[in-house]
Amino acid sequence: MTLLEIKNLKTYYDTRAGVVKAVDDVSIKLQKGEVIGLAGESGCGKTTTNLSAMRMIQNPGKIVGGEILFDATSLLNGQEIEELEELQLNPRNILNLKEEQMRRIRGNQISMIFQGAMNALNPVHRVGNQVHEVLKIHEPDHDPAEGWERVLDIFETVGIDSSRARDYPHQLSGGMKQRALIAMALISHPEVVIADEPVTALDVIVQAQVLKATKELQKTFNLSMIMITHDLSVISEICETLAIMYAGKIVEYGPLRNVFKESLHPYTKALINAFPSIIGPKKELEDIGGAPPDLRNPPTGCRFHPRCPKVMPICSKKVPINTPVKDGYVACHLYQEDRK
Amino acid sequence: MLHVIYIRRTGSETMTLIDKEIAIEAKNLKKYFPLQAGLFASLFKKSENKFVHAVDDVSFAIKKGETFGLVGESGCGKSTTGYLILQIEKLTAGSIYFRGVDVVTLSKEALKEVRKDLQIIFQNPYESMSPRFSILDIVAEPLRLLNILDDENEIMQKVLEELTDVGLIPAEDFLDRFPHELSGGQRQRVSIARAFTLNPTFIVADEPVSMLDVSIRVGILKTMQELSRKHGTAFLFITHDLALARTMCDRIAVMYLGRIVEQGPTEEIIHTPLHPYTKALIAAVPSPDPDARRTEELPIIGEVPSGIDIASGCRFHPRCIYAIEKCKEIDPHLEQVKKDHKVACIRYKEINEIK
Ligand SMILES: Nc1ncnc2c1ncn2[C@@H]1O[C@H](COP(=O)(O)OP(=O)(O)OP(=O)(O)O)[C@@H](O)[C@H]1O
Ligand SMILES: Nc1ncnc2c1ncn2[C@@H]1O[C@H](COP(=O)(O)OP(=O)(O)OP(=O)(O)O)[C@@H](O)[C@H]1O
Ligand code: SF4
Ligand code: SF4
Ligand SMILES: [Mg+2]
Ligand SMILES: [Mg+2]
Repeated sequence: MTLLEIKNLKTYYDTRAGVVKAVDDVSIKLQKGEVIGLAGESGCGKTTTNLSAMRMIQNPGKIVGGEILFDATSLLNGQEIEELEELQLNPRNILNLKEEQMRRIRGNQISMIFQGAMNALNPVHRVGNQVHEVLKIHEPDHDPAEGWERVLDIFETVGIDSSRARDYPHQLSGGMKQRALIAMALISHPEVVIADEPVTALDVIVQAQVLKATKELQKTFNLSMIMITHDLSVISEICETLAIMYAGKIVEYGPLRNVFKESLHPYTKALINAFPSIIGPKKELEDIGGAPPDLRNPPTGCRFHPRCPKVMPICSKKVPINTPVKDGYVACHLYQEDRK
Repeated sequence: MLHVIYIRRTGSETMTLIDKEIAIEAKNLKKYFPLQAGLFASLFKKSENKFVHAVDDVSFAIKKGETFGLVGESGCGKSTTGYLILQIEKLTAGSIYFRGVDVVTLSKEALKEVRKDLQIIFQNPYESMSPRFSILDIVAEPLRLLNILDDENEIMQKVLEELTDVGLIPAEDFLDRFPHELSGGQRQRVSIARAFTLNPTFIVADEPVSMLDVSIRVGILKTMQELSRKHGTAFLFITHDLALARTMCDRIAVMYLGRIVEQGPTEEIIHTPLHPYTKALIAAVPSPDPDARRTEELPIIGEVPSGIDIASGCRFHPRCIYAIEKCKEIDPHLEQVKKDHKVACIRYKEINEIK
């Protein structure tokens, strides 16, 4: 069952220096219980994609095209749905909802663990209270004592001793702060969790511990997750589906093993070969060469063409479409019929 | 300095005598940072002088042309060790032997002479260069500071050469630019060019690519490797990334709370780690291969404690899954296990079934 579908999304930033096409025709389908990894280099549009799905894009950013399909009609009343239908707007496309309606969904049915949020915890409030605040917003009518019990419970669930709930952020280690953020995202039992670089700032041992806890929680609650990271190794540990993003577009999408072991897109292959590993024989790292493009003025045709070892004449002329392959797709002229 | 070591040939009783030239040797380095008065004064009694044991008796020798890796979790003392060697931080105790002399004892003038041969590449290319200096001035700085060249034309020629070597081509285009006009990767190339300007014997590379994206990393690492091969430069390569250390280093030392707990040839450390901490560190490294997913419990307890109140005996014992009572009493020091492989653990034989 598809829970969340990002369809042909376009999000641009209108800056003084030009329009940054940060997300340009991106589609993702998240099934119930599925974990999708979204990987790609810095600036390729990962955060923008997911902030768009939460309708949290700020000026000068703007969603200029596409749909975000998510059934939140249970949080709307009959009249609200009627109003939308009268205007011939799909109530299941959350881009059609009013901000006030959107607020009911955020954190409640879809929640997000923000990039770098570990440092954004409020230093003057106890972490437990900060988690409790989230609950108060989404369930204003709950009994405070019961709510605090739930806070303590969720701390234990994510692997923090509940006695630490009364600590201030500076008293917690990086790993514990990250766990507290996960607690915050889970406390109101969302259906979809978007985690933006949740373990990036952590040391390898703590990273492994937090990833393990995340994986267990995902299984226990049958959560649907989108996990954003620039680190492919982190994705392999937790996701079933992998989406590789380059310069505002998803270039390859499919089951983790396929994308990894039988990569089709030249960028996917290059990215994998640039990653060192401690497993298996020692390998020479391969240089992709060049640098990711400026998204104010992306290359014509395939955006990877200036760096692609397989580049053909058509590549700079025509944007490759998503060609279906085994349970996924690839956007590259090598796999299209009309490549001559 | 000439080092003499003996190795035993396999299957033969003959002892072979070889000479190995050492680029630089660190002996019993210590750095204790006093805890800030004021901030912590209220927490501790006045009489108690508390210290962060950032580096606590660290020794190693790096061979000429060798890349020696220093790995470990955040705060274990990697950067401080690098800074101590270059005298950017003052030692609490210890010696640093370079060309047979202890540089700690050198006069300011003599130290200046030595500085030419010892350089550093910092982790953060944004912070390590002055925003008001042009690229020409940044790369030329060591030449001017140490009065190596005074003819401006010669300086420019040398800078052009260096920029070309690190792949900033055409070099002319970069001379008059400022750091903010370069990408992170380009800036890090400028740091490398500067570090290599004086053709140093030894470079401390402190997380040189950790701020950069993978696609840019590899190019920078290759450039470092090529230059090191070309000039025979030795590296202290500091990283928290074991997979990266594997691709770059000839030997690796693993640090935990200011101490080296294990040291040996890279592939040996990766495939047959002997110290319980190294084992955990390696087990924790995520693999990009979906078929090599971690399934087992990590063989370690909890998280890194602060470097202030160091545990008695083996400082790793509160987290060690093999710890016994004796570990709380005995502070193990590095012990030679095999040629070039050392470990600091009283139980390494039992744990690894070594006779
Ligand atoms: N507020 C903004 N104003 C202008 N441009 C922006 C803004 N936010 C992001 N961008 C640009 O949009 C592009 C995509 O940014 P985004 O943050 O989505 O990338 P990302 O893949 O999440 O990168 P990272 O891995 O560094 O977090 C980048 O080129 C970025 O410079
Ligand atoms: N100037 C200083 N004053 C006080 N304490 C310091 C200072 N510099 C470092 N420390 C402390 O010394 C210890 C070692 O720090 P160091 O920066 O060497 O670690 P590191 O291994 O390089 O860590 P990272 O991977 O985070 O860079 C840490 O506990 C740190 O907080
Ligand atoms: S479309 Fe062309 S340039 Fe783009 S990845 Fe495929 S082969 Fe390379
Ligand atoms: S000495 Fe004891 S505590 Fe320390 S690493 Fe060895 S077994 Fe563990
Ligand atoms: Mg981001
Ligand atoms: Mg450091």
